[in-house]
Amino acid sequence: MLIYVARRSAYMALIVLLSSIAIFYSLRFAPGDPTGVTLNPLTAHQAREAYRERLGLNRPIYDQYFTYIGRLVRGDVGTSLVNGSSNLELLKFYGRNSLILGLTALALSYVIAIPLGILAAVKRNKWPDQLAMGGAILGMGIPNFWLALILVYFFSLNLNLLPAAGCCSPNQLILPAVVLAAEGIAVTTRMVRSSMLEQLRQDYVRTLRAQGLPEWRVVGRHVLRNALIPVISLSGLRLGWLIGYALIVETIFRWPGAGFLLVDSVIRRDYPVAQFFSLVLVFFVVVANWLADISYGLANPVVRRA
Amino acid sequence: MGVTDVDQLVESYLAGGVSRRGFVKTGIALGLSMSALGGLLAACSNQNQSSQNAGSGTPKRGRTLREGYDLDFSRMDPINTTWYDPGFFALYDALVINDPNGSYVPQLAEKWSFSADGKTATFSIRKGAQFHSGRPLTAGAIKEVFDTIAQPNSGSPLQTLWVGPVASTEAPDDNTLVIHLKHPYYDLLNVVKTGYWRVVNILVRQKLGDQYGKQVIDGSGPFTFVDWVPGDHVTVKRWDNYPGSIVPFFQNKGKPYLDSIKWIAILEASQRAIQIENGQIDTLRGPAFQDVSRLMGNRNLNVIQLKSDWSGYVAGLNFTKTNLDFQDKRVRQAVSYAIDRQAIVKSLFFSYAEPMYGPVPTADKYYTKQVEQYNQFNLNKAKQLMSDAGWKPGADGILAKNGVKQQFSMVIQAESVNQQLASAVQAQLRALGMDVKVDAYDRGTYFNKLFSQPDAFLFFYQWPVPIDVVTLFINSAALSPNGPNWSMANIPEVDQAVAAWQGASNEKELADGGAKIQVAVADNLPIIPIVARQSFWVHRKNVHGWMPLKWDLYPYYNDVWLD
Repeated sequence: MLIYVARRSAYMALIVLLSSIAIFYSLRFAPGDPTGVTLNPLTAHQAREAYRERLGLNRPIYDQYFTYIGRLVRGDVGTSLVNGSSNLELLKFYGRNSLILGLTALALSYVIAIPLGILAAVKRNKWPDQLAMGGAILGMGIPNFWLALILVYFFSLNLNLLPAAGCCSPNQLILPAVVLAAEGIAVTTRMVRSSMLEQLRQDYVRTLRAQGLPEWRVVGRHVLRNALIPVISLSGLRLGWLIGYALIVETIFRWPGAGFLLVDSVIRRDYPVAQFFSLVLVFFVVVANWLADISYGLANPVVRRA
Repeated sequence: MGVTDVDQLVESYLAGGVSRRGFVKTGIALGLSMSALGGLLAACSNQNQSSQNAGSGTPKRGRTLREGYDLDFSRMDPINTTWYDPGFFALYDALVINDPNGSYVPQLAEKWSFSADGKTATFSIRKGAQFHSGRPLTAGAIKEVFDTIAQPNSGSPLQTLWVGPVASTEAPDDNTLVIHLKHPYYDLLNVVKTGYWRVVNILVRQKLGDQYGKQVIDGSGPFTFVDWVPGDHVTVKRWDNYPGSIVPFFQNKGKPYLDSIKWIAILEASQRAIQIENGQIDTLRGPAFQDVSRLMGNRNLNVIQLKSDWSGYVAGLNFTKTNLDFQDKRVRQAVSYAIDRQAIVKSLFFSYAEPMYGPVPTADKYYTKQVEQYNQFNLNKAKQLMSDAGWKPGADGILAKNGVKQQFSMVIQAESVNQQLASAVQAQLRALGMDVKVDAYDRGTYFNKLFSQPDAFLFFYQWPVPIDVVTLFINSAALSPNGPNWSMANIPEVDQAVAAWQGASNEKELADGGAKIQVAVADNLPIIPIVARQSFWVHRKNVHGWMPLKWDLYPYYNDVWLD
C-alpha cells in the first residue's frame, strides 16, 4: 500500500509540475502583457520598457520560469501586479467566497436531489417521477449562463426579489448558488433514483418487507443507506465540475471568488495571480483525485496492483 | 439650428430666464421637434430636481454611499495609472478645479496669476493643507509631484503635455509655487486640473515604488483609502483630520457628511440599471443606453443627462500602409464620407449621442462649428474620391489598385459598444468597396496591438479637455511607439495647429488654436472622428448634494449626504 501511495503521490507531483510549466508558458504566449493593462495607453515608450524591465519580461521565458519556481519553492507565492496584494491574502478573501458558494451549491444539490431521487424511485413511472426526471433533463440541458440570465430576469428585474449580482449577503448568494447547483441537482437526482431502484430490487428489501417493517423504514434506513454509496463516491469528481462552473457563475454574478479572480487576472495579464490561482485549482483537482485513488486502493487491493 | 443656440435656450430655461411656454416656442423656431422638446424639458426637470436635491433639507451625517461605476478600477497613483477613477476625487486634491460654470476655482491654490509675457505662472498655496499621513502639503510637496511627472520613466501618460512647455518648477516658500515655462502656455490650468496631476505625497510614493496606489494612498482629499478589490469595489472612509476645503462652490467646507463611499464596478451594462432600480446602489454612472428611458420613468430615481461626454469614438488609418494609400488624404476622406454618423447615432446609441465631424464633442468650450462643413455622409463623393485616387471596384465589388485590394484589419477593444460600432463601420465601408476585418482584443492585448502598427484602429478617448488628448493622437512628435500617434500621421498643417494651441498665452489664443486643430483634423483626418456619446448619471432620491459636473469627469463628494 505504501508503494502505491508513493507512486500516486509522485504522479500527482509530476502533474502539478507539468501544469505549472503549461500555465506559465501559455500566459506568456498569449498576446499582450501587463503593460497593456497596468499602464495608461498614452504612457511613453521609455516608461513602458522600463516597467517591462522591472518585471523581468524582457528575459527569456525559461529564465522567468525558473525565477518563478525558485521563489515558489522558497515560499514566495507572488504579489498581484494590479493591486499589490499578496496571493495568500487574495486566496484568503476570494477562496473563502468560493468556498461559501461551492459548499452552498453542493449542499443545495444534495438537499434537493436526494429527496427528489427517492420520491422518483418510490413513485416510479407516476407523475412525481416524470416531473422529477423532466426537471433533471432540463437541468442537465440548460447551459448555466443562460439559466443565470433567466433567473436574473425574473427574480431581479421583474419580481425585484433578489439582487442581480454582488457579494456577500445571504440573498446575494441565492441566485449564484442555485445556478451552480442546477446541473448537480439534475445529475444527483437521476443517480439517486437509479441507485434506489437497483437497491429496491434486492432480496434483502423483500426480506425486510416480509418481516413487516414499515415502508418508510425500509426505504429511509436500509435502502437509502446503500443507494447513497455511489452518490458519495461521485462527490470527489463533483469538485472538478464545481471549479469549472464556478469560473462562469462567479463572473456572471460578480461574486468575488477564486474563479472570478482567475478570469479577471487572465484578462488583466496579472501573471502572478493568474499563475498562482491556476495552480491552486489544479492542485485541488489533483488532490481530490489522489484521495479518490487512495481510497479505491484501500477498498480494493486489485487497484493497488494495477 | 445650431447646437449652441439650443444650449443657450436650455441654459436660459434652467436659469429661469425663459418660461416653459417660451421654451417650447423658441425651440420650435429653432427647428426642434415636439418629441425633442419633450426630452429636453424632461432632462431640464431632472437637472432642476437634482440641484434642488443638493440644497434641500438638513444634511445628515453617516452612512455609506454605494456608487455603481461602469469601468474597472485602476491603480490609484495619479502619476502612473491606467485611468483615474471617481475615487481620485475623494482621495486627492488638485491645484485648481472647475466650478459648475466651467470657471477655474481654488482647491489647493488660493489664487494664481500669469506673468505679462505668459512664461511664468505663480500659485499661492493655501495654508494648513496636509496629507492623510500628517505631512504638511506645501508648495515644496507640489513641486516634488510636478518634478516626478517630468522624469522620463515616471509613466505619467500625458507627460509630454508637461515636459514640452514647462522649463522648471520652483517653491521659494511653503506657500508659493512658481512654474517657469519655455513659452506661453495658457493651457496649463486645463492640464493641472485633471486627475493625473492630483497631488500625492511623493515621499510615500518613492518609498513604495510600484506598490504605491495599490494598498496605500496618501493624498489630501476628504476621504482616506480603505480597500480595493480588483474587479469588484473600492472603499474610502471619512478623514477625521480633514482640514476643510476652500472650494467656493462646496456648501460643506468641513468634514464630509458620509461615513464612507463604496464604488462598485458593474461591467455588465444591463446589470447597472437593475442594481439602481433594486436599491443595491445609490448612484450610478453610465447606464446602458437602452435602459435610459426606463430609468427616466422610475419615480425613485433622478436621471441627469449631460449633453455630451468628454469623449469620442475615433478611427485611425495607418499612414505607413502605403499599399492601401492611407497616406493619401483622398482615401482617408473617402472613408470618412462613407461613414453615416447620423445612422449610427440613431441605431446604436438610441439617439443619446451626436455625430462628430471634428475631433471633439460639441459640448467642449473650444468647439468650432466650422468642422461641420467636413465629413458629412456622402457615399457618392466617397466613391468619386477613391476613383480619383486610382481605386476601381473589382468583380467582387472590392476596390483594387495595381493588383492590391482594399482589404485591411481594424483592431478594437472587445467591448459591446465598440464591437457594434466597428460592425456598423465595417458594413458602411463595405458599401464603399472596402473589405474590413474587425479584430477584437481584450484590454491587455489591445493596447499592445495599437503600438504594433495595425492597419487601422478604433479608439474611445475620454478626457475633460478633449483637445489636449487629441493633440497626442495627431502630433508628429508623438509617433508610435514613442507616443500614441498610432496612425503615424505626419501632417505639417496639423503640427502647426498643435503648436498654436500649446503656445497660446491667453484664452483667445487658446480658443483660436483649438479651432485650428479641429479644422486641420476635420480636413486632413489624421484620425477619423465618428461619434460622441451623451453622459448619464442616475441617483436615488434619498441622495443629496451629489452633482455630476459638466466640466469634469466625476462628482465631488464633500456635499453628499443620504436620507
